[in-house]
Amino acid sequence: MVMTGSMAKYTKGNLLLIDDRPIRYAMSNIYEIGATWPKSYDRVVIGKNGPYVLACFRAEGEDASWWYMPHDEYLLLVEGEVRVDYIEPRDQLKPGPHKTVTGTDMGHMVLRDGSLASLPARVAYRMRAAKKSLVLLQTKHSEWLTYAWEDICLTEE
Amino acid sequence: MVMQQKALVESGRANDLGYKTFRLGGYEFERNAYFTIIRYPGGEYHIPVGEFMRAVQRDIGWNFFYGMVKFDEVFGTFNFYEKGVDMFLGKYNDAWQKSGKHYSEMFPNEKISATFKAILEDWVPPDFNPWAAPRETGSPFGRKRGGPHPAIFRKRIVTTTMIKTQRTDDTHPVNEAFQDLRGKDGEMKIKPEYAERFGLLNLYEYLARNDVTWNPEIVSAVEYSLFCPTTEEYILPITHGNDRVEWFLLLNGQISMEVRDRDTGILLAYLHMKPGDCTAMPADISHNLWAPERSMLLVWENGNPQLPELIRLGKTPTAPLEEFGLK
Repeated sequence: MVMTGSMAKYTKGNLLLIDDRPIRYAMSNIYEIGATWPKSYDRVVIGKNGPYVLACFRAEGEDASWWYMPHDEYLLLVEGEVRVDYIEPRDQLKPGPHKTVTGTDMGHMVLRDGSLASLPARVAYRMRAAKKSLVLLQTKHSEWLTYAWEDICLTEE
Repeated sequence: MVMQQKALVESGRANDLGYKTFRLGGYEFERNAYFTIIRYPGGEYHIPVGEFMRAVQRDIGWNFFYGMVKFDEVFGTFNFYEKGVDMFLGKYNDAWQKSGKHYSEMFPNEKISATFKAILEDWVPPDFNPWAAPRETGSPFGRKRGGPHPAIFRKRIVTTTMIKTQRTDDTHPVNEAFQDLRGKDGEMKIKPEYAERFGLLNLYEYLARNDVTWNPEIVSAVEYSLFCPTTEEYILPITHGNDRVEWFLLLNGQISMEVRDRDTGILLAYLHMKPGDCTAMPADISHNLWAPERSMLLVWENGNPQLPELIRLGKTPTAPLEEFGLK
């Protein structure tokens, strides 16, 4: 049976450096972040490439914010179950989180292990999770992300 | 083969085993029962034929990919995009560089691509699938016995938004390694008038049904940010020396890798990844991967065509965390 991980049980990999430094590989583990990060829905960056970002977070309960971005995003639900509600805003919004959004209800999705779902540009969305879930987010750099490389990356062999 | 491609390919008569010889500039490619012989102005170089055909399949399947595709520690290609594809022997190997015996020649993409396709069409046996893991396919060895395997014509899947079509039993049965590892269906409750703007796919199910190994294909794109998941088993048939930073996230299974300096081949590190591990591949290294069991690996690429030049000018770092001052 293929090896799997979860927030409840995971094993981290390792490095054997012959002539290099660990920080160049920025090696982190999303299950560890999901299991141990103090705050749910905190978008922790695990990868950055130019303006593009790969982030992960633990979804638990209802996110306090609706999110609105000028670009598409995609979400991979690594583990658990998350409901995403979508609203087409009545007026154009500033990018980022919003306490409330008024507009047209577009419907929702229920995501489960392995779901890859779109978060279309200029559509507001909010997540809620009845149980602890792990989300991977394909997005772009913004001020609402948490950069914590020294906390999440392997710094020694 | 269409007429336009024929004009780009220089092939000779079949040898005693039934395989044609192909010429490309100063190179000549011949296969025997076990090896590919590459003749070039400085001599000849041999690669086991199974490894060679698996590497050629990836190289043209990805249209020469980003940067360097090494077939082994000596021979390979370097993609310079609109300038062409450089085919090299020893150019990125420390010992060959020091000996001064390295050789390289640049070709238009169309010419090298047509030649590699013609080689596969003539050399791949009917029971040998270069995309498959060794346990899934037959032998690449021996005299010509028909062919080629139809898998060599498979097209790489790409998208500029996201893949929305799930694979099914009709065309993509679940790989036996993933029988116990399946996704759980989500629910799309989007109002019909908006449905076109949304997508929902179970990626675990999609990958469990993947019919190839070591072949990153795009499933979602945010501008140049490309999610390229792939299923891996045994050894990556090439060593990849990227011309940009890329990232790997292991969804399940196990992956180990050997990291070397991209331009000299000198050993730098070994990485052993477990499920959930995410790691960067700096732009100045080459990596070879091996997977002891079939594994789902999310490869994350930045497809911006300006990146190699930005890295060359020092405007973009070769290691991702340098921009955060972590050295």
